[in-house]
Amino acid sequence: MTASAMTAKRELEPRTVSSWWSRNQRKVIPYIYLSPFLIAFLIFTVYPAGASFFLSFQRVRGFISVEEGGGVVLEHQGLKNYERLLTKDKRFRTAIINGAEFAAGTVLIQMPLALGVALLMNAPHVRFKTLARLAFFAPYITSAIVVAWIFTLIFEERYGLLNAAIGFVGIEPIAWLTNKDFVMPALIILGLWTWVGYNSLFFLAGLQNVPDDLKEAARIDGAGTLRVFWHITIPFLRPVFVFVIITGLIGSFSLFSQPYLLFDSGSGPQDSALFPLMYLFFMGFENFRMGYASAMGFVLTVIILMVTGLQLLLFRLWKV
Amino acid sequence: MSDKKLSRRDFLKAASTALAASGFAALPVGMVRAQDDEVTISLWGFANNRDEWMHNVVDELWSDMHPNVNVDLSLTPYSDLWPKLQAAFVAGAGIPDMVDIEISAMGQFVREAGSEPYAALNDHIGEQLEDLSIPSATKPWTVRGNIYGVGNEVNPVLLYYRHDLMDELGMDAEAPGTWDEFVNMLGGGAMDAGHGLFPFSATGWGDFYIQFNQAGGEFFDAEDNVQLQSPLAVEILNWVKAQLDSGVYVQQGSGDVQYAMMNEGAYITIWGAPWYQGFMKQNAPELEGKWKMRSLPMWGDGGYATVPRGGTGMGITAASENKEAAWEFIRVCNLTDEGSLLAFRRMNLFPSYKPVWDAEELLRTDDYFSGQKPGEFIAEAASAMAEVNVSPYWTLFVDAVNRLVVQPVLLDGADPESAIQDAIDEFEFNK
Repeated sequence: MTASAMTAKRELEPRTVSSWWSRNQRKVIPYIYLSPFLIAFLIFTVYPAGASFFLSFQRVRGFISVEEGGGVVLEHQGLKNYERLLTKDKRFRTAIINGAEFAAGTVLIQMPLALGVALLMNAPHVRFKTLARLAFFAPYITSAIVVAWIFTLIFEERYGLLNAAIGFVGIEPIAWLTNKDFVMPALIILGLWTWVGYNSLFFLAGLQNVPDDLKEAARIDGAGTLRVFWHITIPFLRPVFVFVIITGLIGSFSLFSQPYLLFDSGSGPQDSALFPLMYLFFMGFENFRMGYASAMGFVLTVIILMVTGLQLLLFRLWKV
Repeated sequence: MSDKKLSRRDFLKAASTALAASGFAALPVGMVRAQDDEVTISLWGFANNRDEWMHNVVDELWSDMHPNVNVDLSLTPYSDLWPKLQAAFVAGAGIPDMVDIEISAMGQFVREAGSEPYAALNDHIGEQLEDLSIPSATKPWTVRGNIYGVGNEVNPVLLYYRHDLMDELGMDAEAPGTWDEFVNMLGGGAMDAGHGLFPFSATGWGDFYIQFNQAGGEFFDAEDNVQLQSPLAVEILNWVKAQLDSGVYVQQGSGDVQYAMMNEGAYITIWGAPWYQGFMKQNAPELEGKWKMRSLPMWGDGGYATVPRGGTGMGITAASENKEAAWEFIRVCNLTDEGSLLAFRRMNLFPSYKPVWDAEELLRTDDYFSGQKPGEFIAEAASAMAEVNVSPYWTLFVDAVNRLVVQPVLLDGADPESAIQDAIDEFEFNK
C-alpha cells in the first residue's frame, strides 16, 4: 500500500465508524437502555443459577484460604446428589408431602373461602366494603415475624387464644405446636388468616369483570341465581382460579418464614412443619451441604414446573 | 429538552465514569484502610449483652491501651449470622477478623481438617490455659486439638427451687441427693398441691442431654464417633418419659410461656446455667426472694455433679490480616482481671478466668436468691463439671436426636432403642 493510500485510509476511518453509528443507532440504543437490567440479570440471576447448577454435581469439602484466592474445596459427585435426593432421602420426601398437604389445604379450603369473601364484598347490600378490603388485605402485608409471634400466642397450648375459644364448647386443649398431628392444621389456619383476604381481592376483581348484561339475559331466560353463578360467573373467573391455584401451589412448596419462625428455627415436631425450601436451607446453610442443596433447588423447580404444567393442562380441558 | 444526539464518545465516557464509580462503591468495607498507622479489627456477634460488654471493654480498657487499633463491633441476629458468615467464607471476601462463636455453631465450618476458616489459638493462649476453666473456656471450641475460641463464662447447671412453696408444703428441697430421691421425695407433694415438680422440654435435645451427660453419657467420643447407642441413653429416656407421664415433670413452654408458667407456679424447681439467672430476674421479678439454689441431684453411680450449658467463644478467622491485634482484644476481654470483671458486671456471668474467682464482687449475696451467694455455688460446681466433646458434626447430630429420638420417645412413646438407631442412621446418611 502506498503512503498516500494509507493516509487516505486513516482519513476515512473515523468517517466509516461514524457512519456505522448513524446507520445502526436506532437498533443499538434500545439495547443500551436495556443494558442496566440485562447486566444485573446476568450477574444476579443467570450467573448464580449457572453456578448453582454446577454446584449441584459437587460436594463442598471445606474452604480455600484467602491467600490462595478463597472459595471452597469441591469434589465432583456426578449425579450422586440427584440420585440420593430422589431415591433415598426420607426428609426430602417428608418435605414434599408436607408441601402437598399444605397446597391441598390452600386449594380446597382457602380458595372457596376467598371466593366467598369476594362474593360478599361484591354483593350490593354489603356496607363498609373499603374497610373490609383493607382488613382482609392487612394480614398479607404484615411481617412474617409479627404473624409468627401472634400465632405462637394463639396456638399456645396452656394460655393460647384458640384453646381458650374451643374450651368454651367443651373441647380439651390441643397441643397445636407440639403434637405432630395438629401442626399441619395449625399451619393451614395460619395460611387462611394470611392469604384468604389477599386471594379474595383477585376474585373480587374477576367478579367485577363479569358482564352484567350477560347475567341479566340469563335471568330473563329463566336461570336462577345458582345457574347464573355456575354457568356465567365461574367460567369468567377461570383465569383467576388458574392464577390463585398456581401461586398458592408455588407458595406452598416455598413456604419458609412462617413455619421457621413458629417452630423456633426448626422443622416442628418430627418434621411435621418441614417444607422443601426449609430443608434446602438446613442442608445448605446449617449442614454446609451446598451441592446437595443446589440439587434440591433444581429438583424442586422441576417438580413445581411439572405440577403447574399439569394444572394448566387441566384448566384448558375444563369447560363449564 | 435538547435534541442533540448522544455521541458514541460521550456515551463511552459516561459509561466508563459510571463503571469506575460503581467499582469504588463496591469495594468491601473490610478493604477500607484507616489512615496512617491505624488498624481496624472487626468482630461479628449476635448477642446484645456481649456487644455491650465489648463496648465497655473498648471504652474503659482498650482505647487507652491501643489507641491506634479501632474495634468495629457489629451485631447480626443469631440465625442470620451463620449464613452471612458462610457466604463470606465461601466468597473469601468481607470476612471479619473475629467472630463470636456460639457453642452450637462451632462445628459446621471445621469438618475438614486443613481447611478450617478459624485460626487455632493454642499458641496465643499458651501457659494462660491453666488460668482458664477448661470445660467452659476452651473445650467447646476445641476440634482435633485446636482451640478455635475462648469462652468467657463458667456455665454449670444448678438447681433452683421455690423455697417459699417448699416451706409451705413442708418439703426439704436440700434433702434429695439423687434424681430418684428428688422425684420420689418431692414429686408427690408438689402434685398434691397442684404443681409440677420440674419443667422439661420434650421437643428439644437440650434437657435430655443435660440428664444424659450428667449421668456420664456423651453424644460423641474424642474421635467424633457417636456414643448414643448405649443402655444409659435408653435408661435416661425411659426415666424421663415416666416422670412426664406421671406429671412430676411438666412439659416446658417455649419463649415467654415458660416465664408465665414460672410465675404461675406450674413447677416449683427448675435448672439453668448461671446466665439463666438473668432471664429469671428479668422475666419473673416478682419472684425475688422466693428462689434458692443448690447443686443438681446426682445419678446413682458415676456421672458428674453438673454439666455445662451454652456459651459463646471469641474466635479469630483464618483470613484475618490482623491476627495479633485480634488476639490482643480477645485476651483483654477474657484473660485479664479487668475484662473478666467487666463481663460479670455487665452480664452477671461468672468468669471462666480463674485468677478473679476470689474477687469480692463475684461472691456477693443476691436478693433474688434469698441472700445466697451464687458465685460460691458456681465456683464449686465449675470444679466438678463434665467436659463435653463437641464434634464438628454436633449440629447435624443433635438435630437428628431432636426429631428422631427425643420427640418420638417422650411425646409419642416410641421405642428408645429403635429411635436412637434411626437417628444414627440418618446422621450417617447425612454426614
